Amino acid sequence: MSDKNDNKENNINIKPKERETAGEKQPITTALTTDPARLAAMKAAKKRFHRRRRLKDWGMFTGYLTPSLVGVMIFFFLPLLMILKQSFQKSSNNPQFVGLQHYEKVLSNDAFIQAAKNTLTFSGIAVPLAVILALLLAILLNSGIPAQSVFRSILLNPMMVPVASVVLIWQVFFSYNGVANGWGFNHLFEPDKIDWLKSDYAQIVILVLFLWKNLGYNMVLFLAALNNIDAEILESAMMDGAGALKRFFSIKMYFLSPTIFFVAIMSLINSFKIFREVYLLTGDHPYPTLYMLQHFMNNAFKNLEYNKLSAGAIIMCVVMIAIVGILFFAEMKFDADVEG
Amino acid sequence: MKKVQRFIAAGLAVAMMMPVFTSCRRRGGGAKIESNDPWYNVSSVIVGDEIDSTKFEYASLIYAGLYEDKYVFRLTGQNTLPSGFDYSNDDISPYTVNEVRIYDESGECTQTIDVQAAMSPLTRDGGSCYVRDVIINDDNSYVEVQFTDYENNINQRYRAVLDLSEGTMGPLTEYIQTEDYATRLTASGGSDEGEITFGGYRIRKFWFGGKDTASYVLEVIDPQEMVTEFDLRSLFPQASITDISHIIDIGNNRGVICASCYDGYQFFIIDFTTMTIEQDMGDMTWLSGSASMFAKVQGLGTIVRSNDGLYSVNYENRSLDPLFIYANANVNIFEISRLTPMTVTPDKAVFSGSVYNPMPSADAVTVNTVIYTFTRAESNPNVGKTIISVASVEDYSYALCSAICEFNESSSDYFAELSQKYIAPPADYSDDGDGSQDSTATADSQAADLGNQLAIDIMSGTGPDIIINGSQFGMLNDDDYLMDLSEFVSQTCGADAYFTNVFESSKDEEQLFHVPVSFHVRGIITDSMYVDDGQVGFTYDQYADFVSGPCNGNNPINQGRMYFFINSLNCMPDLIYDGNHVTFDSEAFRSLAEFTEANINEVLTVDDGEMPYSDEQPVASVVDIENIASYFNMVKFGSKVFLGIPTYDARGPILIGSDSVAISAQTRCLDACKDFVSILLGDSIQRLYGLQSGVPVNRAAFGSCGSDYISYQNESRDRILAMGYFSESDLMNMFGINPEPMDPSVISDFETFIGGLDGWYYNDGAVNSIIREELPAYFEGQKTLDQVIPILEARVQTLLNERG
Amino acid sequence: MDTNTSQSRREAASQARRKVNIKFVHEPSFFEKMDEAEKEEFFKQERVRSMRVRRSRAILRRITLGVGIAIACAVSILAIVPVFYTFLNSFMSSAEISHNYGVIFQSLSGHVQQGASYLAETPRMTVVPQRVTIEQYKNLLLMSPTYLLKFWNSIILVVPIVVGQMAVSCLAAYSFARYRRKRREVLFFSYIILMLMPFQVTLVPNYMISEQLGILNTRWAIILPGIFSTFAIFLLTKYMRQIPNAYIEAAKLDGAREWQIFTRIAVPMCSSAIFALSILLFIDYWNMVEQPLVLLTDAEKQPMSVFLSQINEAEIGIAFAASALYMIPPLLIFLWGEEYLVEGISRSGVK
Repeated sequence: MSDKNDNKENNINIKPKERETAGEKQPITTALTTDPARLAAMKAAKKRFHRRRRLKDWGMFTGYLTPSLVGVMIFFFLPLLMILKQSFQKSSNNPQFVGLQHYEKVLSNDAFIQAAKNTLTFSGIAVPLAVILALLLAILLNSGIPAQSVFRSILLNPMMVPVASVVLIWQVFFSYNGVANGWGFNHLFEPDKIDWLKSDYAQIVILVLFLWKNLGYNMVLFLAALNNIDAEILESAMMDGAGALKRFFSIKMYFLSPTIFFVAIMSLINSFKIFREVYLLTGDHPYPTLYMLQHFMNNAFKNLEYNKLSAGAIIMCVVMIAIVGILFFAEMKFDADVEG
Repeated sequence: MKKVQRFIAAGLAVAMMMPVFTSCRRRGGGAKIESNDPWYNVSSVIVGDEIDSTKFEYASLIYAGLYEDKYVFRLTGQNTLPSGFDYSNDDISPYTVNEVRIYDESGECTQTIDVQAAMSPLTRDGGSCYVRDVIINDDNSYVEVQFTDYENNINQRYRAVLDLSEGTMGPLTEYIQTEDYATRLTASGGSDEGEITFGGYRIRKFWFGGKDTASYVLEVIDPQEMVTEFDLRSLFPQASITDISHIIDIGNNRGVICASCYDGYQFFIIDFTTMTIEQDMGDMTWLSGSASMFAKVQGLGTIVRSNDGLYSVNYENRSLDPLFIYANANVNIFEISRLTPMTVTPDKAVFSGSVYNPMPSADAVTVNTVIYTFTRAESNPNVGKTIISVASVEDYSYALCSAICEFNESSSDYFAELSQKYIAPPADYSDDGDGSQDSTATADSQAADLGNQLAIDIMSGTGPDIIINGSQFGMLNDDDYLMDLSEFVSQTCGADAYFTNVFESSKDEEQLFHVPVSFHVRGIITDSMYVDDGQVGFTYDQYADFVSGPCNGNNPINQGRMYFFINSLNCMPDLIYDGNHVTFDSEAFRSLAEFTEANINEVLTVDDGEMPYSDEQPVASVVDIENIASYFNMVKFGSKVFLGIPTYDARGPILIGSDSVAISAQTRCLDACKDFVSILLGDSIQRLYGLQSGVPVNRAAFGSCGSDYISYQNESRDRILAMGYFSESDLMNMFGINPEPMDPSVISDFETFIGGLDGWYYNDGAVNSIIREELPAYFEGQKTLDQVIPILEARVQTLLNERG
Repeated sequence: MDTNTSQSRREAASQARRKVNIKFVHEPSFFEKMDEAEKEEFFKQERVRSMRVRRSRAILRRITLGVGIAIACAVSILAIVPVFYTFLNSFMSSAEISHNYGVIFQSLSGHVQQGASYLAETPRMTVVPQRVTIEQYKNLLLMSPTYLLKFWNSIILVVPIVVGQMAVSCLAAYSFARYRRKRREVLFFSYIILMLMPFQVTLVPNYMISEQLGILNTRWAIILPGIFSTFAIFLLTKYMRQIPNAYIEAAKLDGAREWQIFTRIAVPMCSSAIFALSILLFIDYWNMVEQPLVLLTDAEKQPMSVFLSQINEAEIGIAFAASALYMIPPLLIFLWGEEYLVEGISRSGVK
């Protein structure tokens, strides 16, 4: 009798079931008990379980991350730390701490300011252009043009051309006696012949180079993303009477936005890589409109001014963190909506 | 460029890994002399001064070998021929001198063996003979004479045994070369490349030519006259051997053959017991760098004669073991490194060679040979002294080494050492097999690398205390790296004792990092009748008139437009640069550019070295005056005047730095370094600089070497005139000597002249390369000057901004 | 009468709204009012009208299509001109190349010698070479083994980097995708920043570390930093995060362990991304120049990309052939990989 009474009192009806899942004992507790002690015990068990699980998760996933982490630590983080340390030292042979002296010198260096301005301007123009033009091209190719794959292959070609050929051809086109002047492109801007790479239009030339190289890849990414949009949604929108433009902006853009951010970051990366071509075209000290941050750093490197280099590198790092941070957070916001 | 990056990174690697230490490493500044560092006392004797050199037309005393403790030399020369000697008919042999002379350690000539006496009978009926070699061995010394009679087609070698203890020579007997295999090889197209002796073995070398088919054949003759032939081409097809210079003894009857090939040095091990040769494929860079410095020393075999001492080859450890380091004695390293080692033991080293005279003596003939004997001291008198390292970029001079000796003698707490680290090894010409220009290119790049290494070491704190000739590294002109010596110089070098205008001109914005030790003066020499009175330089218009007029269109500055442009621009930096700002849009620049474009022609590229040669003296020429003699000969000749090269405002001749000295900012021995600089600027060393590398900045030295030059010049002049063939007018045409006798007034004249100069030649490589890229467009007529100047300004301004 | 009809209509409408059942008066439409003949007429007119509309719409579409194709063609031509010219010029004899392009090499920045003539003449861009020869290729391939050696150097540098980076990145991306915690996000963010760093920033420290590890003059000095580059991780993470959780939960329910989830689900789902990435990486590293120059001191170990970036006048004869040959591996890989690429892209959705 007392047992029954006990049971009734505690109101335990169901024993916690145990199930084997992924080799693990996972008690499934249903909230059919109200005894506070029991509840507390179950909660504690749950917490323990979750903690163990969290630890196990952490261990396992960190295990997956380890090879990459080790390598990145050695080859990327450690150098950055070294550079950070170096930028606060008096000079390469004098480890005396001088605070922000080098940063002041670098930030007030006219050449650095010029370089920063150029780099930001170039990236600021090139990246949006790359994204928008690629998007347009993707839409163009997607709208029923025949031999789409052929066009795609052709447009991806520029990525594969080695730098040397590119430089050569660009020289042929855009030097003072080059083909561009020969065919009269200069008349769009000025009556005389223009020395493109040494004039204020130099950035346009480099922009063309950048776009030529990167449009193909961006376009392919957009094509892939466009193809991934469910055709049904588009059809239903069409039936609801949405015009082409409205269809585009409301639906396609919505689904494309993660890709857009992705392409933007890729283009940003590539806009820094254009330095190699610029360097091969114009050398150490180009015309000021082409003078980029990497020129500044490269020359500091060659002149053994290592502290200037470190300070400049850290500044560049900070700015990039800011820019990418903005993009990143914006993307995270959009991403949450779109991800299915 | 990329090599620079590597060196930079390497040096900075050291910098970052060593946080606190600055310059105390190895024998760098801060280290002290240990008691177990060896030290040698040096004594020298002169041999050959018993010979009356006035009797000779030419003579040389060459070291032949060491016999017991006596020095054996051979004397070759020719007595002065009597006037009226008929070269075609008269016999010259009575006037030829060939002797073997034996000297003892004190320089006394103990025995003389007249070889010529034995040779004269051979030539009685025609033909000629000469002493081919004098071989000195402990047990077998002989003289080898070669007799040649072209008409009768006789070619015969003779030998005579020398008895060095008695001081006599046996009769000359015919030496039959019985090796017909040798003739077989030469008959089949090979050339006899000589013979190397290795212990009891003789190795004869033959070379069959052709680049891809070059074949080197060795014939090893063992003491029993057994011959083994090695065709190296078939044994080692990949190595195209061009020459085998030495075989180094590595024990066990084996030797290392050092072969120079088309692509560098290769090494082969020859085992005389088994008579095999195999190639050493290991890393031989430890040895190949010294391959051009091998020398054979009696009793030691082949050793390495490096810039800083003698090393023996330790093959097992693959290293060079020091035998004798020049810095361990108070002797002029420059001089010693040019002497031949005679014998080296742990306690004694003996060198011999011609006496080094910074001022070539007017005496045409000198047979003076100096013998330096180094005996090991029991204790090092310099124990406890702090070492100061002195580094010279690319090369070191006699004057510098003398300064080091003087410093070491006078300083009680410090010891100066010449650092060999930044001195390029002797140019290796072995790898330009296809005749390309690579040898100079590699030498240039080697020099550039070493210079960069110096800069890096200085910046990382492991560099030397004193830097000589480092002014080319503009990046080092900073308080962090070098000491600003302007105050020191102004305190210790007064205007009455020094050419302070030279110091002032070389300052870089009131800071003086590289103190000029000697300098040149550059300008144009022409006759006063072509220029106006009191004219100091040329404006561009004046120069245009000058070239078209008196020069008849032959521009003295004829190395092309870019050369002219840059030279002229470098003479007027103050018109272009204003602090950190550059202005090309100025009258000066424009007029220079326009003038260059209009009036200077591109240099004719000549193909095969046949420069158009004209016999007449040019009307005007660009010269670098390096000493008072050239000043006298060029500027003071007749009515010549010395003007500056064309600049915008007709400046006078310009000062160009030659040698300089700087002190590292990291040094711990600042006062001692300053003492060293004072020695370099002192009278005695400055005189040496003045005799060799430029005009000294020290007025007293200026005067004393001026006197030296005066006596040398006057003696040369007298000697030439005494020969009887030349008249006074020939002096200038053929020898470049001013026919007027030089007198001491020239010294004060030159002194005043220098005192009036104040321009310093400013050469900036980076700016020059930008100019070289942009200006040719204007010169070719492609662009106008208005198009080029903004580009130039923008680019150079960026460069200057970057420098900060 | 009219007002009556409209009023009645209005009433009917409001009543209909109130869902009141009223007899709905069926008004005949204009169509039903017509008789047969009028219907015929109407239909004929309709047919004509609709055909006109259709035709005009078709024409419009054809025009847009045409314009689109024209633009695409124009862009493609622009894109392909350099490639075309490289291949074209590789079939010219070296004399012709010097004749046409020699002036460029004399005035390339950094290669200027004293008195170099500024690009004084327009280089000649001919579409057809005067004489088609394979002299360049012959020189390149047969004359001396150095170029092939450089080619091989390039391959031996790039392939390990691509393979290694993909392996490491897959693992790391999986970790980032499955285990999303705040701290991990920060790490991910820093990975992105690292990706953006230009090489000058990390070059000297890399050199020093390589020296410490003793790998300085070996290929590992370039391969190891390449393997751990974070570029692929960024891309793969994005892809992996798009794998719906449903898959993973389902797999877990079926008793799969993490490793199996990784190999059986995550990697195959990202295979298109992996292929695309491999291609990208290959092309990127195929063209790398600065790292080998600084980290590999031996001239023999330098890859072809370095050689191509330093072409001077002496080697102009084989420059184009070398470039053409150098383009071929990426081209081949791209062409071969494109199938998989397309397949991966078109395979979409959660099925």
